[in-house]
Amino acid sequence: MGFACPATEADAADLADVRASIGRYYAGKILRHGATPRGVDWTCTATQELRFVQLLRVCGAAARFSLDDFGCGYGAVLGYLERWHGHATVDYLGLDLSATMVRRARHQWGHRAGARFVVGATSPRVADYAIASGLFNVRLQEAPDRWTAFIARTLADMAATSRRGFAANFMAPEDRAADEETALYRSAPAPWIDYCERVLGGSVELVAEYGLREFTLLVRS
Amino acid sequence: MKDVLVGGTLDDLNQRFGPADGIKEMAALQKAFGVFSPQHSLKDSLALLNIGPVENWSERRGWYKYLESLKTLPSDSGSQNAHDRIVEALKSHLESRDPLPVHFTAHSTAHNPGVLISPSKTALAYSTQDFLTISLPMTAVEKDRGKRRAGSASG
Repeated sequence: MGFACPATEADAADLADVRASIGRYYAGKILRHGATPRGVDWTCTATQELRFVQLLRVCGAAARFSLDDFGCGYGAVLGYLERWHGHATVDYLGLDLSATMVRRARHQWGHRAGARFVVGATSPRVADYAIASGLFNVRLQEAPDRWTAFIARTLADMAATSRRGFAANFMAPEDRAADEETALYRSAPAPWIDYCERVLGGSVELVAEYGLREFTLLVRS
Repeated sequence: MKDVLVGGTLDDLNQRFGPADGIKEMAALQKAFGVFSPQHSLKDSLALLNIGPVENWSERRGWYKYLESLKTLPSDSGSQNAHDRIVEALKSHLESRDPLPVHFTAHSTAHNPGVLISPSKTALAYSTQDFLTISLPMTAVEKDRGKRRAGSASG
C-alpha cells in the first residue's frame, strides 16, 4: 500500500518536539482569537459542529458514556453536546497539548459537572470513546514522516484508552496538488483505514461526502 | 463599518458561498443545522458562519447593524423586506437539489432602495460560472461627524 506505519519506530524525543511545537502553535492561536473557532483554526461554529456530528456517530445512540477529546481546544464539543444532545450524560475529559488552551477551557467549562481538562498527549484513563477533531490537519514545519509518526502514535493512544471505539477526521486531498508548501496535512483514507484495522485491530467505518473536503474514520473496538 | 472593510466582507461571503467546495459546504450546513430559516435573523446566521469583520469588534457590530437595517428596506419581491427576502432565498436555494454558487455584490440605494436577487450568467466578467446573485442595497454615509452635523443643520 506504500504506507509504512512509523508509530512503533518513532523516537519518543522526536514526538515530544512535535507535540511541543503543536502546543506553541495553538497557544498563539487562542491568545490571538480567544475561545472562538478561529482560536482553534476552524472557520466557524457551524463547520466545527458539522465535524462533531460525524465524529460522535461513533457513540451511536448511547445516552450515557465517557468521552475523551484529544486536542480538545477550548472544549467546543461541550457546547455542541449541550445544544444538540442535552439529554445525554457525558463524562467528558478534554486533553490538549497547550496549557494555555486548557486554562481557557477550564475557564469556560469549569462550572459544568462531568467535564475535566488536562494538559497532555495521552489520556490518564480508559473511556468509552475518544475523538480527535482537526488534530492532524496542521503539520506546521514538521517533515511528513515525523507528522505521520505523530498521527499513528496518537491513534494508537486513542485506541489504547477507549474501550468501545474512537473517531478522528482528516483533510482529504485537493483536486489539484497544491499543499506541499501550506503546512497542511492531507491524506487519502486508505492508508489510515489500513493502519486502524491491521495495526490497531479496529473495525473501521469511513464517513465522507458530508459537505467538507475531509473524511472521518469511526473505529470500533 | 468602514468603507475599506465592505469589499473584504463581500469577498468573505463570495468565498464561503463560492463554486465547488464553498457552496457544497453551505448546503451541508443548511441540511444539518437549518442555518437560514425564518426562525433566525440574518445576523445570527452569518454570526454562526463567522462572516463579517473579525479583527475589530466595533466594525463587526457595524456589520450586524447593517444586516438588521435590511428589515426596514424593500426587496424585489412584493411586500417582503430585504432581510426576509435574503433569508428565504438562501434557505430555498441551499435546500434545492444542486444549488449554484452565490455571488454577493452591492448597489446604491439611489439606484434601487431594495435587495435584488436573481440567477445570473454574467456575474463575473472573467468567469463562465452561473451564480445566484444577491445585490445588497448600500448607502454612502458621511464619516466625518462634523460634516455630518453641518449637513443636517443646513439640510
